[in-house]
Amino acid sequence: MLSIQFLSTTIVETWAGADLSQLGPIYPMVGSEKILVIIGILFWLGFHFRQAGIEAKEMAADEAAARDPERLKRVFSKEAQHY
Amino acid sequence: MDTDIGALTVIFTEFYYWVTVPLMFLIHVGFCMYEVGATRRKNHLHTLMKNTMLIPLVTITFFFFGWWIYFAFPNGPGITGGLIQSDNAFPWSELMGTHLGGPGVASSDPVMGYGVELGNAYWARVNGVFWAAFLLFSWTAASIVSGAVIERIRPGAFWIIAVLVGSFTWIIDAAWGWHPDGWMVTQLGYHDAYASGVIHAIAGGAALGVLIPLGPRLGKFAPDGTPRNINPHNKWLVTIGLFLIYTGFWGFYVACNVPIIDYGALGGAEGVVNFTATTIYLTPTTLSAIVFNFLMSLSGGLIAGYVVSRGESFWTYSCGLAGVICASAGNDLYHPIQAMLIGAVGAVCAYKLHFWVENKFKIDDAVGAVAVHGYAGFIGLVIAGFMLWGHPATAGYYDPATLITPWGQFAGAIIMFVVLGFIPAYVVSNILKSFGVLRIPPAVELVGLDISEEMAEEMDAIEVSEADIAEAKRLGLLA
Repeated sequence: MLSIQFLSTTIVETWAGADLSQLGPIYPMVGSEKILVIIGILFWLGFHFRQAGIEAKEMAADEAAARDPERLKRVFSKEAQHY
Repeated sequence: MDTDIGALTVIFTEFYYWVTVPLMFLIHVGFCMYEVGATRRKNHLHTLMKNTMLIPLVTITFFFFGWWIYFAFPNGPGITGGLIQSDNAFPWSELMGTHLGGPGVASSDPVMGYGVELGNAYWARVNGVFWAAFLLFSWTAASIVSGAVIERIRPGAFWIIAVLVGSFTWIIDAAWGWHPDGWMVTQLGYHDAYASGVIHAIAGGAALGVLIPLGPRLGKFAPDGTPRNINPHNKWLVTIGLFLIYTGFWGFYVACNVPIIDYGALGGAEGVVNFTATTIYLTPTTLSAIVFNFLMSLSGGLIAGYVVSRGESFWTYSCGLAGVICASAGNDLYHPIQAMLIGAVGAVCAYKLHFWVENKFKIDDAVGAVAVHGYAGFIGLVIAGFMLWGHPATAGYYDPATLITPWGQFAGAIIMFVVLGFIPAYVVSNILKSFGVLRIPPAVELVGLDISEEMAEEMDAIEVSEADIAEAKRLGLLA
């Protein structure tokens, strides 16, 4: 019992007899909001940096593919047929 | 929440905004279909992903700062006052999560939002759904820009611009001109009930601000400057996409209202309890009014669009949208026949201006987004200034009221289209261009953005085919 309480992440211990008007936030780890916001912003900015690298590699590969005249002809042929 | 009527009002409001969210989700489904249909097949997967990924990026950034801007910036800040205390909207607020409305843990101070103390019980129920309704507007604003720039913008550059428009500039304009205490409303008498300017004009202006540094698609203009038609690869997909946008507009319109509020508490007659729906400005309206006017302005736009485009499907549908957008600023108040006529004017102006700008300035707006959203929205704001001249723009608790005028609406249209729409997008696009990350390389544009996927799929197909041949040989079906 002691170990379960020690591991609890929530301020709600039971719904029995709960007075909802006295209950505020009930998500896990109330009090960690500012840390969560920092982690969230790093997650967002991390995407842009990581994506820029992925995109640069993809553009280089696409440019290499575009140097194949046969492939280009196929693309233009499909385009002319409004494929 | 401590009285039956109080609880019903808050929970009805919570449910009402929740319903608008899946309806507005359809706008985004429509935008994706419309954009993918409008591209050539060699670009359609990247076009889809470009639009799809704005959803998570605008969502998280709107959580981090967009929501707070709406509540904190109605005074500018620095135009009519400072930042407004907005405890409900900080990304670290306990009310930005699962909350039952009781006292806070970190602080028991009164929670301020909208400049008043509405209480934890109110924000605990309404904050998330109200945030989501505004967020779906944010997606729409960013998505409008997305369509204009297809087939040559780098996805990474677009996503930065999407965050700029979806989580920053549009929500500043909402704080200024789409908030009961926004300085544009209280000082200019700006009225834009269903977002002709605050969503459409700003997004159209932003699209134009990106298109100029971005340049036209290769092959769009002949050497003598004559524009060539780069037709949608699937007009059926385009038109069904536009139909879905119409459908999502039902959610968009009702999300612009406050569903139920006692007007006596907003400066109405003293001692009289009078529950009503209001616009976002807390001025009275009804759902019936906006249903009349939405459908009549859509019809005016479709009829005029059919005639002016000689029945061309893409432009007839787009003109329906332009009709709604043009009338939206005053669709809480117009007579339905006025809404129809204004819709028709907006549709004709959007159509004519699109081709005039394309010919004159060689701007390649692939889907007519600047015209349908930007020009129609701008014109709609100006028309509302004349049509609603002298009507109060402010809620009952402003006495005397600030009145709607043509010059207030014109100034508002300039702020939306140029100041918050065009200029920030133009500046950021030019910065991205200076780093060489705005536009895809010409060779990639010619061969198509989906070339890597196509080559990988070809290799997959060859591998599977070779495996099938080997199996057929093993079974003696092939020599």
